[in-house]
Amino acid sequence: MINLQSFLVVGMILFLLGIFGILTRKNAIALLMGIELMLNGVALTFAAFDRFIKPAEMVNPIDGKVFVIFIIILAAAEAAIALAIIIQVFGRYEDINLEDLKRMKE
Amino acid sequence: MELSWIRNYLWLIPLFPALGVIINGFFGWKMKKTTVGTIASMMVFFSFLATFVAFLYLISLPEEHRLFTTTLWTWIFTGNSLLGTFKIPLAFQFDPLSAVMALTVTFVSFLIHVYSIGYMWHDRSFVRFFVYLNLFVFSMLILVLGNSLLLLFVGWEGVGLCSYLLISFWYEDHKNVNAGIKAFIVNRVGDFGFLIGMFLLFWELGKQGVWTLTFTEIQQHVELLKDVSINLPLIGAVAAPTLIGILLYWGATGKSAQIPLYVWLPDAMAGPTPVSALIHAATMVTSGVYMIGRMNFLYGLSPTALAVVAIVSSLTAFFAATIAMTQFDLKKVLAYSTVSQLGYMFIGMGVAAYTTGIFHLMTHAFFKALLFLGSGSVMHAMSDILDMRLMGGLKKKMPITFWTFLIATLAIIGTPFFSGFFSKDGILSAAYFAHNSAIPWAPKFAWFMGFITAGITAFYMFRAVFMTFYGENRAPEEIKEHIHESPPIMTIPLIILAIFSVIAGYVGVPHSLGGHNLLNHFLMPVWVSLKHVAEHEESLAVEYTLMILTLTLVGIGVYVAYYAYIKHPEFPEKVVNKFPRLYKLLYNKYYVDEIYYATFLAGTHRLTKILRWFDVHIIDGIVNFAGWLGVRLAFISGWIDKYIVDGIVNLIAWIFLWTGQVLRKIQVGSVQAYLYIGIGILVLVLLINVL
Repeated sequence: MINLQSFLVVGMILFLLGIFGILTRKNAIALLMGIELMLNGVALTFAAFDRFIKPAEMVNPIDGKVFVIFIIILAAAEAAIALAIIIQVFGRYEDINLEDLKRMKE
Repeated sequence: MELSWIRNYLWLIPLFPALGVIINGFFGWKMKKTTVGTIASMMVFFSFLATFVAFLYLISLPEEHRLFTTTLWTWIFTGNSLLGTFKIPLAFQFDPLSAVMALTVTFVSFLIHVYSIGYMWHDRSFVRFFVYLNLFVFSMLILVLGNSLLLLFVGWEGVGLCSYLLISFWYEDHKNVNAGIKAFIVNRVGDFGFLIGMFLLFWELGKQGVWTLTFTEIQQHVELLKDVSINLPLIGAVAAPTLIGILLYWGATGKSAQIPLYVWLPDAMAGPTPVSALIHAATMVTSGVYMIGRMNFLYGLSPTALAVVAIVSSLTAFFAATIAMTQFDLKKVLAYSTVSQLGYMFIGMGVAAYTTGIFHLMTHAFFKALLFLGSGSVMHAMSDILDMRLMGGLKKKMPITFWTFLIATLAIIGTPFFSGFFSKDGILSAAYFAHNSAIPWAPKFAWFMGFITAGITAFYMFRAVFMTFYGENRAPEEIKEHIHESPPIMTIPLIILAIFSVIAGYVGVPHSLGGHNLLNHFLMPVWVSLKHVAEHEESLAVEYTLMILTLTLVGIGVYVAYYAYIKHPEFPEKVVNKFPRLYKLLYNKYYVDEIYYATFLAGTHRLTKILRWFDVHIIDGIVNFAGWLGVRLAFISGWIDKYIVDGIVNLIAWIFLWTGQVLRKIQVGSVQAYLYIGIGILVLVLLINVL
């Protein structure tokens, strides 16, 4: 039977995979992918809480859904900007290794 | 003739010489010498005329009212304070004593001014000389006419200044300048005593409720001091009149050249001879005698002070005369003779026979001025040679100078019927008969010294006459040729003074010689302290005996001089060889100058050195230490500034720098590093929350 714990575990695995990705990958695209994974893990958690918990005292029952939609929009916008930056970095350094970005301070 | 206008015009007397100073001082340089000399002499003559008018008016007054005052303005006024009122007017006072003094001063001054025209004719500072001389007459008249002790002191200092200026008149010669400075400094020592005496009198009278310095008021209230005594450290209680009297006499020893301050007068002969005649023989040096006469009411309260005056002055008379015996410089002989004669005057004062002192002052002014002017005439002829060993035989070449000089000599040694005889005899007999309640032997002692001195005076004066005018001329050939009698402008004053040297004595012929002693009668109202003293018995027989004794001694003195310098010229040599030590002692003036040099001067030098050392090492040391301390403090302050204040500022800056440097390591520019940090902090916060 699929219950709240199952969704939370999947969300947590996604989030941790994202963290693992951004901490270990030097590639900017991989980093962006890690960030997307983390965002989606969190969005899944919000959706699961919205589906399974309906406490009486909650004033607005659609809060979880709203957060999910915001996160998806945010992720889309973020992906657009991040990809634009990555293209610019590539144009300048012909590489998208994050270590190379240090050279920007020079 | 109505003369009472002079009551308000006494200031005319000093005004004329002051005018002379102004005219000659400012315009003299473009006037002819004759004009300058005439103006200077005439101003003094006008002054003499004004004095004479005042004198005529004075004798027209009844005897007890013979004193009048011309007040010009209030000089010092303290207002009414708690202590009382103190007021000194600038006023001149004319009484018999002032009259005698002012007449003598102006008359002798006039003659000397005239003489100086001839004497100073070739001097290039002719104008300056007459300005100084007029200034001197002005100061001297202030001195004798001033109605307060303070005004007297102004004149006293004024004549001192002129004396200094005229001694150093030929200032190119260092010797003259030194003599001037010596006179000035020695007088200053005397003035110190005079000032203290004056202050003490002022203060002691003030404590009795009378704040004054004018003579008439002091005279009125002087009795208040009768029983006042002053406690001195080491000495104990001294009666106020005694102390004040001795202090004032101290001042007189400076101005009137008495022991111990006479040393300046012989050196003062460095000035032009008319100056020696006027200032250092006839007038200025007698101001001490005048001052004691003026303050006689004070001395009347203190027999001790009088005795001190008599003893010190009789010693001066004797010692100065002994020095005069051995000097070869003609002017030096006359200078020591002046010191000695001043001693006589003070003996007269010291035995409270004030008239005789003033009488001798007057006759001395004539004959001593004449002697000096005569020596000036000799110098003029001898091309400024003063050494009597180079003179001799001038009798024929300079008859007028010789005869006048001889008359003055006869007067000074007290030859009968010459002026000096009456005055000196008056002093000696007064001293013999005087009583002193404090020191009974003082008058007799003074008489004895004066008696001996009379003989010595006869010797040294005739020695001078014989060496100068008799025998062969011993001058070098080229000087011999120039010897000539002086021009009339110089000889006429000599003749006039010679006449007065004879007749001036007849104003004071004592009763014992059949005279009326007019001078004593005239001056008596001034001697208030003698009013209560009963006329003491004077035995005529004793007086005649004394007179004959003195004359015998004088005769012996003259004969010894004749024997030693005319008959047996080798005789002095023998005496000198027989008593070489005594002779050397006298010749070197008892080494007084040397003693003063060894004590006071060397002491002063010593003190100066000590003070210099103190200055260099202590005062400068303190200053340098302060400087050094300042530098040190500044250094410390600088150090504090540099290391503490700046250090704090720099530390703050450094802290920021350091934190910046530490913190900038965080911002490495590596995105993953930030992520590590962010996640690390997140984990940390979670851990803390869990724990």
